[in-house]
Amino acid sequence: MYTVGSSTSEDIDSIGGRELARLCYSCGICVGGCPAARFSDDFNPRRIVLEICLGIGRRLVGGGSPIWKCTTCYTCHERCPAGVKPLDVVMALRNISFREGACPESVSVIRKNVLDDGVAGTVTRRAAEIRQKMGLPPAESDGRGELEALTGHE
Amino acid sequence: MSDASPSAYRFFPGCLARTKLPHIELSVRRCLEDLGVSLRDDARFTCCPDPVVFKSSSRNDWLRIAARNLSLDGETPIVTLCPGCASSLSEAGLVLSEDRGAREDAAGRLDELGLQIGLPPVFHFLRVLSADGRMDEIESKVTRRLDGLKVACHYGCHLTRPSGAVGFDDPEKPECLDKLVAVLGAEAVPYEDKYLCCGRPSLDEATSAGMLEHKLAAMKAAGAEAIVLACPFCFEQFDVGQMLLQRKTGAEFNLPVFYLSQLLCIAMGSDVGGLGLDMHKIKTGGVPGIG
Repeated sequence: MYTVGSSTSEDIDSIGGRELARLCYSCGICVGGCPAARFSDDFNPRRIVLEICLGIGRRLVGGGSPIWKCTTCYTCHERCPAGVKPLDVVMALRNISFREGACPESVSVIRKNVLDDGVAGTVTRRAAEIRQKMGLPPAESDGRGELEALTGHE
Repeated sequence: MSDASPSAYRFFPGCLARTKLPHIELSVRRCLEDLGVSLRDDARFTCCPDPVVFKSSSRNDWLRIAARNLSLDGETPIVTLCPGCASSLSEAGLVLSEDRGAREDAAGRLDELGLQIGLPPVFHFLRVLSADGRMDEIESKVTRRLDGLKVACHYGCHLTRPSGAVGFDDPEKPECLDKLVAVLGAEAVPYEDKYLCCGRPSLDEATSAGMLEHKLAAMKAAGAEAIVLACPFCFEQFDVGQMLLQRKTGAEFNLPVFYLSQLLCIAMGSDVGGLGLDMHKIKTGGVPGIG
């Protein structure tokens, strides 16, 4: 059972591969290949996994957390010799942050777009005209309206 | 890569091309169709959902929505123009096949929509182009070789990763783009940090811009005249992002960005004027053999 701070979080456990995090022996290969670690001062996947294992990861939840610097490149996922999935741990922390209402605005905006329209972006009039001129089908998705029912009620 | 050899696919356009990059979508459709690959549209497809931002809100919701896209129409393979879509749908497919609890959860939700779980193969279009025999076919259709053009190939991250789900090319040192540009006559120049991420998916502006600037400098130093890639997010980063970076810092990279499919269309004889290259922020007019 992993915790993110003072309270035990089932979220961390409920996401696939989390039980493997305890296999981390802090070799640091994830940091060596990590572009976000290389191009920022405070993103460190080895430290994130360690803090989750030790139950001292509360600082990692929230909109100002370094977790949002991750580029989701999956290099750590590919290279980890112990089968830990550091990116899954980062995603779990992001999910918890979203649930607590503490995440970058873009996450809420894109999620709302997808659930409302079925498409992550907004179809501008200009884009619609160009698509028509190029002979491309309309950008709108007929799936809008079906997605809300799929979400929630974990 | 003989598994991506079927000649009929359902076309999964993805959100960024749909809403902002119609010229990219046009070129991908055209080059596939020119090679005899038939594409069927399905307006019911939604966002895959994206493996970066949407997945950050809820992995469970990501999986259920991906399961819906996968389950709309049986086993006919899906081809995408976006590595993010292909990676996301492939990873979701792997989770659905391996994790019984997740599969039952998704199946229950889909049942309410009258759908049964389906797990069709999902390919990025580079994989379709790389399938056995297609490279020869492309070579035979090239009427306007891009001889002498020096390009920097940028692969990005999701084209080959996670490799356990995607299963295409080498996960960290892929070669498919290099091979394809060589068929067109162009030269893929080696450059420092060729396999580094473009930075776009980081939600931290400084991290993202630092990676972009580093890559552009490395490409320029290696003598590249243009960037070739096959991801709409990388395209936006290198095209729009490069323009903004130049405006902000005064740097002058001026490296035009091409989707591989655009070069393919040009080399196979498409009218350059009909490809929407005027939509690119970094102007393509001066590129040898193209302008």
